[in-house]
Amino acid sequence: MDKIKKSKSRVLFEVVNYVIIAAVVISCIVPILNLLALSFSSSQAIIENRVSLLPADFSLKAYEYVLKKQEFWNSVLVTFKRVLLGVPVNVLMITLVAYPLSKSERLFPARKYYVAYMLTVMLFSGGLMPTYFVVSKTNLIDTIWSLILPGAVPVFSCIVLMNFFRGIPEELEESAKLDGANQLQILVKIFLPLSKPSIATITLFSLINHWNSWLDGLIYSNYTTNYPLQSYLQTMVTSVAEVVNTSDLQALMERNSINNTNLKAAQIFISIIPLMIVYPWLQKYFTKGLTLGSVKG
Amino acid sequence: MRTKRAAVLTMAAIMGISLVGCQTGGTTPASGTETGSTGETSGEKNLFGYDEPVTIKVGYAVVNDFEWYGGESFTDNTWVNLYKEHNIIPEILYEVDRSQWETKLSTAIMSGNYPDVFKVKPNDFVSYANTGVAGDITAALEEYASDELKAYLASDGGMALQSVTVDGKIYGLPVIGSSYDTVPLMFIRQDWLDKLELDMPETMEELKAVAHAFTYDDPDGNGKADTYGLALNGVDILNSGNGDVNAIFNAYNAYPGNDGLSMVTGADGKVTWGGTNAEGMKAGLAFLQDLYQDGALAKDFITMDSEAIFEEAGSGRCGIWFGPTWGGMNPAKDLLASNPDVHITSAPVPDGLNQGGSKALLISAVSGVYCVSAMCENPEVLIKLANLNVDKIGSPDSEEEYNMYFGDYANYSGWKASLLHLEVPNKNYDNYLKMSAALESGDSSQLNTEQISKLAMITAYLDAHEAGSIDAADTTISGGISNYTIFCDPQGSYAAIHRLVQEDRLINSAYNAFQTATMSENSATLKKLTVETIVKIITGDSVDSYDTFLNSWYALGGESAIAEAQEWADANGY
Amino acid sequence: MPMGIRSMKQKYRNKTDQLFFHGMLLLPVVLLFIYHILPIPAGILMAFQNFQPMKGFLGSDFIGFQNFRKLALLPDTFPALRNTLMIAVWKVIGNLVIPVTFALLLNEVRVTWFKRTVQTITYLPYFLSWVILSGIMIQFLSPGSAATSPGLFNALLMKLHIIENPVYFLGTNGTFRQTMVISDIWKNFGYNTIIYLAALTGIDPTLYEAAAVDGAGRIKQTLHITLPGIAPFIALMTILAIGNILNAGFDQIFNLYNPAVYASGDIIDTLVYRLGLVNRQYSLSAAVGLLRSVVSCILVLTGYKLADQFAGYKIW
Repeated sequence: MDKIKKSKSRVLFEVVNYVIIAAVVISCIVPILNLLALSFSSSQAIIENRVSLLPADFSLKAYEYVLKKQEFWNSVLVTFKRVLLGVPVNVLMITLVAYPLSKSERLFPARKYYVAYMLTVMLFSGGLMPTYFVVSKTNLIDTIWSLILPGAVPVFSCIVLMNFFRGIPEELEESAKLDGANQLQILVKIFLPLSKPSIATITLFSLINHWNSWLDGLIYSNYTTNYPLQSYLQTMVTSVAEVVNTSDLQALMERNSINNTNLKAAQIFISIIPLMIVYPWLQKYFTKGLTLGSVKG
Repeated sequence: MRTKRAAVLTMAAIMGISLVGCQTGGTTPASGTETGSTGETSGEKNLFGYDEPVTIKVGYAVVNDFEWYGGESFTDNTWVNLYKEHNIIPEILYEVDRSQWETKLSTAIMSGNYPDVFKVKPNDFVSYANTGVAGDITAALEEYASDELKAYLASDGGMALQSVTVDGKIYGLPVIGSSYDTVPLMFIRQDWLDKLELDMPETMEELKAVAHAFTYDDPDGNGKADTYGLALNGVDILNSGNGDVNAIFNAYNAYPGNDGLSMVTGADGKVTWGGTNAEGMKAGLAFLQDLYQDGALAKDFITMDSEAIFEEAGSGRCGIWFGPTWGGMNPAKDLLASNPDVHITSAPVPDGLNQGGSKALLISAVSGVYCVSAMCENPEVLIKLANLNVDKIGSPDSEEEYNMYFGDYANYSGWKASLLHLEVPNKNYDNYLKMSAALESGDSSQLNTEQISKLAMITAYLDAHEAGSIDAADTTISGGISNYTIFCDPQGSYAAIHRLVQEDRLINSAYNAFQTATMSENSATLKKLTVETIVKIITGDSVDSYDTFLNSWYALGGESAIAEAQEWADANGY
Repeated sequence: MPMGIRSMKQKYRNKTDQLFFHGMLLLPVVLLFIYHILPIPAGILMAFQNFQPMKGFLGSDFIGFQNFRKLALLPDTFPALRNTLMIAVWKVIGNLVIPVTFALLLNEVRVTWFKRTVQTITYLPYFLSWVILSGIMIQFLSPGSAATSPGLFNALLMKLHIIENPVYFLGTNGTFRQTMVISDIWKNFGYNTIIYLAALTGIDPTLYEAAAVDGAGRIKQTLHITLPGIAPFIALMTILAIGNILNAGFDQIFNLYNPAVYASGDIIDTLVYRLGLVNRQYSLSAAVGLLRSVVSCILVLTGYKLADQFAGYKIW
């Protein structure tokens, strides 16, 4: 790069640029820092508005409470179960779809029918109530499978992997066939090893999806113990104050305005931690996978 | 659609009971020989249970941090054990978060497997009846209702029972609250009045002056301009809750009412909406507008909700607020903790028309309806559960029994765990009459167990007050403060209610059924328009714009609502 | 190998191959059929019936287009539609302009570690669920009440004297939509920026050099090279976004809205939810859902067709 002397206006621009960018970045961090600070502050300090980016009245009470909150950890367990079952199921299904559909029409003439099928799935959705109806009639309510089967075949990921498979030169397959390999062997010995980045991508898609999913956990569960993490968080985040029976004055007296912001904050923060741990991989594979899989032509 | 919030019940647990497979070995349950029915009068029928165990399915929807007392749980608490004793075996169908109760019930109904007994909101009730979800209990009621239950259902003159009748058949048991607890009263800082040597305002003009004085004349004597007159609930307008603006309009004989659709009998004997009294409404709006301009009404009242009203009063910022009978409780507790000279008193809404006294509107206070599933083979289980409830809560045999079934916040979770909870109507008024008499005379022989325990708390508080040190952290003392404010203070809430009753200043609502489908459809829009207009006028628009609003109100469905109400009134001889 | 045997072997291989492919696809197809295809006719049927769970599909009356007529009269319908379009369109615009601008700015940064760090940090919100973000936002944007203090955002604005009293962003109709759009942009822009940055690197650097030689300043270069360079890409993204116009963001809105802001924030999807799962108006809910599906389908197909013609973009 030429070391052309920078003009004054260029310098000015660069400074302003850095400032703007830094400001934007800070805006990303501030809410999360605030969350962290709130989780480590005492209720009193929060009521008195003394918490901004740093905790006031440092207190571990909120985290103590969370550690004891059975429902929270229950839901974490459910989410882990869901991820451990759901992600492999997803990856399997995606591979099952992507591989045949990645073959050209010559090699797989029936391809176009399946493509039409997948297109239909992509375009239409039955809606919340009818889907619930089917899920309940197939006896999945309150089981971990209600969180896995309806979403077992994510069409978008299929496209990503399919396009990746397509990128693998046909000659590899041809020569393998000449050596007498059947499709299963070709898939397992050639395609899969070469597709590691793409598989990593779809795995991460699936992981994030299962981790963040909340609506299905809510409506398909009959017991709060079956709520996955995000569903549980949802009930906590949007909890509404109760209106009290007037003749039960004692209950009215009981209503306290204990500020539970720090409790909520602690639970939310803990939920973010796993994401942060996996974050470096997410960063690496997400965009890569997308650019690999989408824009063509 | 949200419905009348008068005396809304806390539903920390909304139950559903479902009789899926009420197999009792082929015998018809509840007829034939029974053992140990708890001594009621109707002969051989078992009004409280069955001879053979009957399984019922239950659905719960509890808040995130619902607290069980005494180590109880869904499967082990006083009520569940009571039911089991009577051969009614609850079996849990679902147990979800409170926020999901409607959704869960809805999806459960859709999949055909739902609790048989469940509670519904009054406005939804008719649709449950009409879509065949709720079952007909007319016959079961006739056959199995205990005398106490019958008395309960008759306690409001039959208004509530009418509201659960669809096409001549009864489809649910109404939860009848206390109408008196919906009447808006004025709460005021008596100590401020005393300090400024003002009398309790009896007219709206006097109220205006007092509000002004509270704002500008330093009523708390601390040298700072940190007080103001009136606090108003700007978030939940027309919900007849704490701080509701309805009170102001009532002073001028206008009754827009709960959810903006209260019906009254007009001067011409016809049913009309309480807000069609344009003159009255405008007078009320002008009053509020003046206060707003003057600064005696908090400029940010729009951000204040029910909680905030408590806060404003309890922190000593505002001196006047309107609310139902329990509106003085929390502020009293908060203030007395630091200042024993504080005195919150209550009075009926001041008179705006110099007619000798404002009138308060009594509305039918049904806060919910318990229904039994149409698919259930034993609809009478609903009646039996109700009988049990009325028996244990309404006439407990001992204080211990009362605590067991009502709850005592220490050992028993109480009514929150019961499958069906009916409030004892007008209990509070009865409490007031008996307790204030007992306090004065010293004779507690007429009191029931609940009243005795409340009186004990009140006495403890009064003693502490005499002694000059009030420890508001002590639950007995703070309980005493609340109860005193409501029941025993000669200038307390129920004293004000009593005055209204004595002086015949209560008028009945003209329409007592639940909202019809058309009303429901339109009520949200109508209420929204009403609320917006009210807020706009208070904060500056011309008072006369109310007339324009009224025209729109009629056109947007108000006219048909009035017509339907009139039809109902005519059909029922009101 | 003789021709005949080879082609027979090929045919045989072909048959087993085909069997294998069909076999692979069987399970996914079945699963998709049960959970995606089956609900469709159920929903269509529901939409034309007066569905009552007690009577089931077979017993409920068929009432034709009445549900749709009812929808037209329902006061919630028009606001939901309007809000959906407004929010979605603003989101498309915002999710385009902001990231592109930011990508352009970031592209000018020569310090690699700074660039990397920026990307890393801004990328995070994309992965957080709306449940978590709602929890954060509700607190962050809280106006406070008499009982609690305002959240950090309001506190800051007041300290800087930009506003005098806290603003109830999530509870006021005048600010709700904007809050939804801006927070969505905030959540996604890290991710979008990376995509556009990638596009920017695709522009031939020699073009810049040539322009510099011709005396064009950075701004001119941006206007005449960069923007035209990524214009096709931006156009493609926009066309694809057309298909998403009816998707104003259920997850976000559901977790952040409340009855006070239904007028400006209720969208089609939240209406479907409320009608069906809360108000038990199953048929109405299905009717809205059906309409939405149909329109959405048309839009998506149009988007793909245009993308194909315009940029040769094929997905399958």
